[in-house]
Amino acid sequence: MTKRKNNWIRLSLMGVLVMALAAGIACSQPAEETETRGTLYLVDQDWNGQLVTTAVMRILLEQEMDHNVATKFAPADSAPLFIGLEEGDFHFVCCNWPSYSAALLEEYVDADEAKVQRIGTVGITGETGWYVPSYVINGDPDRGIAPVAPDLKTVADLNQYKSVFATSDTGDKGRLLEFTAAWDTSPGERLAAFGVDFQPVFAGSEGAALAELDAAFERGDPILTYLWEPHWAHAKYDLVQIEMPEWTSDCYPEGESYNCGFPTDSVAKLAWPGFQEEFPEAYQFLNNFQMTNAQQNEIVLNLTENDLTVRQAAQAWIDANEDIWKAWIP
Amino acid sequence: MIRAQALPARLFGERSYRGILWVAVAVAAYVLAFSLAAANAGTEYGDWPGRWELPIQEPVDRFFEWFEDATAWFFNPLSDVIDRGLDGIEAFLLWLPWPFIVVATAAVGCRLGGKWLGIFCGAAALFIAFNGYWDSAILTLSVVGVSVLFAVGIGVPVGIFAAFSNRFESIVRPVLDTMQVLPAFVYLIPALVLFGVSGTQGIFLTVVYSIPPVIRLTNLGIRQVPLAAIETAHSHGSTAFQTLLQVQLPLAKSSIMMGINQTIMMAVSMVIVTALVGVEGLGTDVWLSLREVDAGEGLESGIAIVLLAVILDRFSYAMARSGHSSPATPPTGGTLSGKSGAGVLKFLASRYALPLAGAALLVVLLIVGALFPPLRDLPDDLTFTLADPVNEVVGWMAVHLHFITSWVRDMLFRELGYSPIHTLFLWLPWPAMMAVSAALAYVTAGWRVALLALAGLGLAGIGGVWDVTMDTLSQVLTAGIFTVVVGVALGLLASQSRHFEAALRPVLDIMQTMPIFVYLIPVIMLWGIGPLVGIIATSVYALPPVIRMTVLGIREVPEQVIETAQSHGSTALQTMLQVKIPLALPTIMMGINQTIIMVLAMVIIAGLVGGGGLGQEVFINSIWLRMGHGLVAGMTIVFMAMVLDRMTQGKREASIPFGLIR
Repeated sequence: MTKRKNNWIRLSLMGVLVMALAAGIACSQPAEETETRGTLYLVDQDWNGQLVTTAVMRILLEQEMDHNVATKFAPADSAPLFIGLEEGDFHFVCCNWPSYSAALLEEYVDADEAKVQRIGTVGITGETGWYVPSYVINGDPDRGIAPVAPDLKTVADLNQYKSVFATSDTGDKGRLLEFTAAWDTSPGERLAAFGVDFQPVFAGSEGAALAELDAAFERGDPILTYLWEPHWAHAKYDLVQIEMPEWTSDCYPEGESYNCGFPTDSVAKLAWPGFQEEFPEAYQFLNNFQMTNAQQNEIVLNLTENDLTVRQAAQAWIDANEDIWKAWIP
Repeated sequence: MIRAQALPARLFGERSYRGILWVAVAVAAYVLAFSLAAANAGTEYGDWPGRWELPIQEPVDRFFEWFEDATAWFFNPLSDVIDRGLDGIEAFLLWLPWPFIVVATAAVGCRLGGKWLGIFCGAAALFIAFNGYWDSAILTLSVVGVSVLFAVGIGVPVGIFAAFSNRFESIVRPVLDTMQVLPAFVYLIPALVLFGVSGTQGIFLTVVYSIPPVIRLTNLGIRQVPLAAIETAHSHGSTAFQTLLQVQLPLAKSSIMMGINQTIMMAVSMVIVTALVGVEGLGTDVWLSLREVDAGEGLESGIAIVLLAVILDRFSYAMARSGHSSPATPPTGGTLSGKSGAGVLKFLASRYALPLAGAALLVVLLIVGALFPPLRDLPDDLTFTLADPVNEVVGWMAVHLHFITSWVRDMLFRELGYSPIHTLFLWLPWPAMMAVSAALAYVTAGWRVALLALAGLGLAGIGGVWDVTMDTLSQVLTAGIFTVVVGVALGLLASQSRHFEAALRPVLDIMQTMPIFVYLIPVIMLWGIGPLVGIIATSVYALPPVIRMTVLGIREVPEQVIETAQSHGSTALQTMLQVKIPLALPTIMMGINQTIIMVLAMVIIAGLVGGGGLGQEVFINSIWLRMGHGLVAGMTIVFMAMVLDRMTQGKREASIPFGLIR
């Protein structure tokens, strides 16, 4: 009996010891840092363009400005991201696409009492649209794929090819592959306004939609999908955008009409409201930071083609472009 | 006499006439459903009246807003403290040189389960390290470890209370049922606001989901302590508290340890969900691979999760099995008193050999590691990857197996399963749907469950998710029927052939531990997206318990009964149909019960691959911060789970809690 009791006691003692040790390590770290500056938390999201841009920021903040930087992970433009920025669990996120998080922006950024601060745009312009693989229009002799929709250029041409894009889910209608119903992309309204006899099918998540796209390319099957640019998919697959009537201020979400394409997204930088006070130099630097679509794509391509890590690809760009980033350092 | 009986009665026995009747009713319903689907029946007939939909979501939203403001003073500091602790543990484990952890894992494995377990554990740790998932695995291990500490620290006392108070137990039981089935996405957002985006949040989600087994088995273990043992303790003058500490807890120890073992396994399975609230680790890796359609990397991180789960499972299982004789008892007995100096040294060496060797190894590794960095931190270029060949295989399958997979999807699942059932449910007027459900629940499980069914359907109607609920219910039934048919068939085969069973067992183990997200990419590449894919993935995931319980049930049939049947001239087939299956039925039903619960737990995941239904409802509302809507959809799932659980358990008084059968 006593032996058994000893085991329980010993186990709990060990537990306490581990906890104490851990607490010791944890407490000793911030104590040193408060003398200089706390850790700056940037947000990593689940897409490559964002990851490399954040890595460039992080390396410059560490190497050129002597900041203590760490990253935390949050799924793109999600509730956790905004709640984290409000509470100060995250300090800064690069690359928020306004039209993918309209409701959250309204509640957290544009409300009367801003809980999250917007500090300008990154310089990246997001373009959203509907795409088909180029072999659908031009064929691919190397793979023995015949062009099944040779005259497809605009949404008005879609009706004559609806059987080409039909699947067992949609019957005799064509299928428009959509990502998730959680995004405000209004495919049903657009299809109705264009008078196109297609049916949107939601993949449920970005991963699922891209897997479906990947499988279509492997098989050489026709597919019409929602997608945006910049996105790594354009580097891997040869996609052609279907023309839509241009977006004007009469169009949704500003106006009522759905007979339009999508507005372009000015990708924004968001921050915790206490950021400027806590990290004034970093704030200045991130405010100056600008990157174009072409620059971001170049880093992403280097990452995927040459099998580099995110950090290596970011470092390579920094090494080659000193004249660009020198200007950002305050 | 025997000749005079009808064929069905000869096959199934006199008492099964009722069963045949039921089968006939089911077939008739199916034929009706199938012809409806073929006729493309309109769906508006069965709808719940729109004016009866009440805005019950809004007060919920407002309550949460108030609750968050009112309790911030308490939760924010709590969250900070836990975060610090978690950061410390992570920092400590990452600071340890990786070879030390590999060797330590192997040594502990050796100690607990012998040479082969030791070798396996060491090899598994090495694989994770050289596959490039070391840091992720360590982060995941820290979160799982801290969560399990909390779960045990809270769960054991609650379990003890439940064991001493029947009233408390009757309150706790439905709460635990709810915690296991309510999708985490429902309380993810409220919890986010309480705890912030932090490790604490991940720990909270993990503890909520994984605490039920430890509470249940502590309760069960203490209740099972023989009365005689307690009375003896009392007659020797022990107080109630002494009896608890010295008699009841020690005797319940192996049961409690089994509970902890299950809690650990469930905690590991939460890594994917916690990745969504910023908890880094293997879950994040799976998530990233999904987003980039990298089936190979997804598989690699999945393997790492499986290996971690297997190591933790074997460790805790070995500790549970060892029960009363602790493995830590020293090999040489005796006490310190009355020994010479050398004797003391020898005693210390024998008793503390393992810790001493560990400390020595650590010091050596720290010194060598300072000179030779790869021993401290494994460099990236030493790792290998399986991703490319896996991706190639998946790509090949997507092209060359598509003709067969699309046939399976469209013919088997859509035309014969989902489509007729779904059409029938949408066509049935809502009062008929409620009456049929209540009647079925009453016949199989009694009036309480019938009320539960009515309440659940009523909630779905009032909450405005009637159609979505019908969709989910038809998906659950399709997946359930498929799983039970295929599972029982495979189980019967496996029970006849040891070789087949031996080949099947590791496959089942992997299927149960591998997070479903890992095989989502291959499944989508083969089957496409939509509700059917959700159903197929769910069926695969939920197969293991029904196969296992079928094998177990058939194997448990006593030898004499079989011999008696054979001596009366039964053929093998007759023995199987008339003796083995009826006797194994209760065990098989337990497997079916588990399977149904697993199917429901998967509903939410199906929403992420285009399954629609309540899963998508819950997920979207969590993104839009609409807690009330999410809660209604989530509670509908909970009601559905409870009703189906009770129905498949039958009219037993003491219901077996779900998820408890190994």
